Amino acid sequence: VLAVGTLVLGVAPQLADRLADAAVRSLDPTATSVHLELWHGLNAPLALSAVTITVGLILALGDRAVQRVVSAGSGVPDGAAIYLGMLRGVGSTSRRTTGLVQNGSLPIYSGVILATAAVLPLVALASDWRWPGWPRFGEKEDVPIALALVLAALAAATIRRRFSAALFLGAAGYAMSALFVLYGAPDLALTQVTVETLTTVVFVLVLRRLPDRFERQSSPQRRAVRVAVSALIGATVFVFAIVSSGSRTAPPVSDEIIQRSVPDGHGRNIVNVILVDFRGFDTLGEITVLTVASIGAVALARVGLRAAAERAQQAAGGGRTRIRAKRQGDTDPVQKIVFVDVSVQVIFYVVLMMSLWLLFAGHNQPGGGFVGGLLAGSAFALRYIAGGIHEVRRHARFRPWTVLGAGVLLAAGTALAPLLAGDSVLEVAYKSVTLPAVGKMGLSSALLFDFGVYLTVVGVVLMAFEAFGDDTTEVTE
Amino acid sequence: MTVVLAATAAILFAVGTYLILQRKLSRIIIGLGLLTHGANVLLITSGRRGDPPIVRNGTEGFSDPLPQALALTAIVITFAVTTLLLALAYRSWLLTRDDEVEDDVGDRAIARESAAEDFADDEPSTEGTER
Repeated sequence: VLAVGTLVLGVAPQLADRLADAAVRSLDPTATSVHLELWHGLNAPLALSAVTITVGLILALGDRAVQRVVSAGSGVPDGAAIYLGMLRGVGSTSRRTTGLVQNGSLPIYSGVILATAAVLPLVALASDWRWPGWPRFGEKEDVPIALALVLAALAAATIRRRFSAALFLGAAGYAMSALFVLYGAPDLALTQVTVETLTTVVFVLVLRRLPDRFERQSSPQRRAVRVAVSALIGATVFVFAIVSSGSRTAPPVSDEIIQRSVPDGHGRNIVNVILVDFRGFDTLGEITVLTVASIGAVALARVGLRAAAERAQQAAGGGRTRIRAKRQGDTDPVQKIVFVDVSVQVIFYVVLMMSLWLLFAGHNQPGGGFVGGLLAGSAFALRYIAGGIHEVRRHARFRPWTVLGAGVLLAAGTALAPLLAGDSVLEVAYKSVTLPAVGKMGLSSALLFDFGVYLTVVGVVLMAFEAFGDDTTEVTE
Repeated sequence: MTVVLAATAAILFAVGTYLILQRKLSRIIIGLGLLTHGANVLLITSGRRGDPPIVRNGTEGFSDPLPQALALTAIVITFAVTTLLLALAYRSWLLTRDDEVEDDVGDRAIARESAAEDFADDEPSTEGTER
C-alpha cells in the first residue's frame, strides 16, 4: 500500500494538497495555503539537485583519484584518538605531579606547610608595612619565667632520652602556669597545672614501652634545613607579635563582655561565663573534639586486643571466664604498697570533692567544668598509681565511654533545650532560689552545661587510662 | 605584649617546629606541646594584664578575659590531641617496635613509577598501561 501511495503521489502530488495544507495550518495558522506540484519550474532547489547529481557522477567516475585523497585523510586523528590521548596525558601528568609533590615523607610535608605558614604572613605584613614601634621591654618578674620556658624547651628538644624530654615539656607547662598567674588568669593556671600533670602521667604510660633513647640519625644537611625553617617560623612569630600588639585600632570586645557578664550571664567569673554562655557553641564543639580524639586514641591503642583475648579464651577452652592477661605485679593485691594504698583511699575522695567544688563554684570563682573534670581525672590517676587499671575500673563505676557520651549528651541537651521553649540555642535559664541549709543561691542552666563539660573531661582522662592502662597481653601482629 | 614575652613565644615556636620536623613520633608530640605553649603565650599576652577577671566590686582593672577563655580551650584540646598522638606512637610501637614515621609506601611507589615513566616516555605507550 505504501509503495503504491509513493508511486501515485510521486507522479500526481496535487492529490495530497488538502492533507499538506491541513498539516501546515495546524503548525502555523497564519501560513498561506500550500500547493504540491510535480514541476515548479526552474528554481534554486532544482539547481541544487542538479549540482548534487553532477558531483556524485564525477566522484564515481574518478574513483581511483578519490581513494588516494581519502587514504591520506585517515592519517588525521579522529575524535576518539584525541580524547584517549588527552586522558593519557592527564594521567601521566597527575602521576608525575603526585610523585614530585607527595613524596610520602612526613617531615617534608610538615616542613612545606610550616614554611608556607611562616612566609605568607611576612609577605602580607611587608606589603602594607607599618612599624608600630617597640613595646615595653617587659616586667621584671616575667624574665625568670621566660628564661625557664626557653631553657625547658631547649632541653626538651636536645635531650636524647624520651622520658627526660617529656619531663622538660612538663616543666615548660608549669612555667606557663606561673605566667598565667602573673597575667591575672587563675583559671588558666589551674587548668594548665592539672593538664600538665595528667599529660606527664599519660606520657609515662606510653613511653615506658618505647626505648628510652632516641638514636642519632639525621644528616647535617637535614638538620640545617630544619633549623632554617624553625628560625623562619620563630622570626615570623616575633614580628607578628610585636606588630599585632601595637596595631589595635578598635576597643577590645572583652570590655563589653566584662560589662555584661553579671547581668546577662549571672556569673562573676567572666572566663567561665564566656566558656559556658557567650561562647558556649565553641565549648560544645571543643568537647566534641575531645570525645572524638579520645575515642580515636582508645581505638588505636586497643585494636587487636579483643581479638587476641578471644583467641586466648578459645585456646583456654572457651567459657565466660575473663581471661587473665599477663599483668604486671602492681595489680596483684599482695604487692600493693600499703602506705600508698591507704593514702590514696583517703586522698581520692578529697580530690573528687575538690573537683566538684571547682565545678559548682566555677561560675563565680576560679574553677569550672574543665579544671574540675581534669582534677577528677587526676583523682583516678592516683587510683591508677595505687592499683593499676583494675583499681581505676573498680572505682569509676561506669565505663569511660559511658561517662564521655553522657557528658557530651548532657552538654548538647542543655544547649538545645531552650529551643523547646522557643528561645535560641544555649539560652541560659536562671533562677534564684533559697535553700534551707545553703542559703540564697542562683541556679543556672549554665551549670548543667558545665557539668556536661566536666563529665566529658573525666571521660577523656578515663579513656586515656583505658587506652594505655596496664592489662596488656602482648599483641604482636 | 612585651619584647621578652614575644621573644619567648618566638623561641617556643621555633623549637617546637624543629621537633615537629623530625621522624620520631615522641619528638613530634613534644614539639607540638611546645608549639601550643608558644601559641598560648601569644594569646595571653595579646590581652591586657590585670587582676583576675572575677567581678567583685566594679568592673575595672581586669585582665582581658577573652584570650583567657581561648587559651583555656587550647590547653584542654592539646591534652586530647597529645593523647591521640601518643596512641599513634603506641600503635606504631606495637607494629614496628619503633615510633618512627616511615615514608608512605604508596606515595613512594607512585614517585618511583612516575620516575620510570619519564625514562620510558619516548616509546609509544600501549593500551594496557591505562588503568
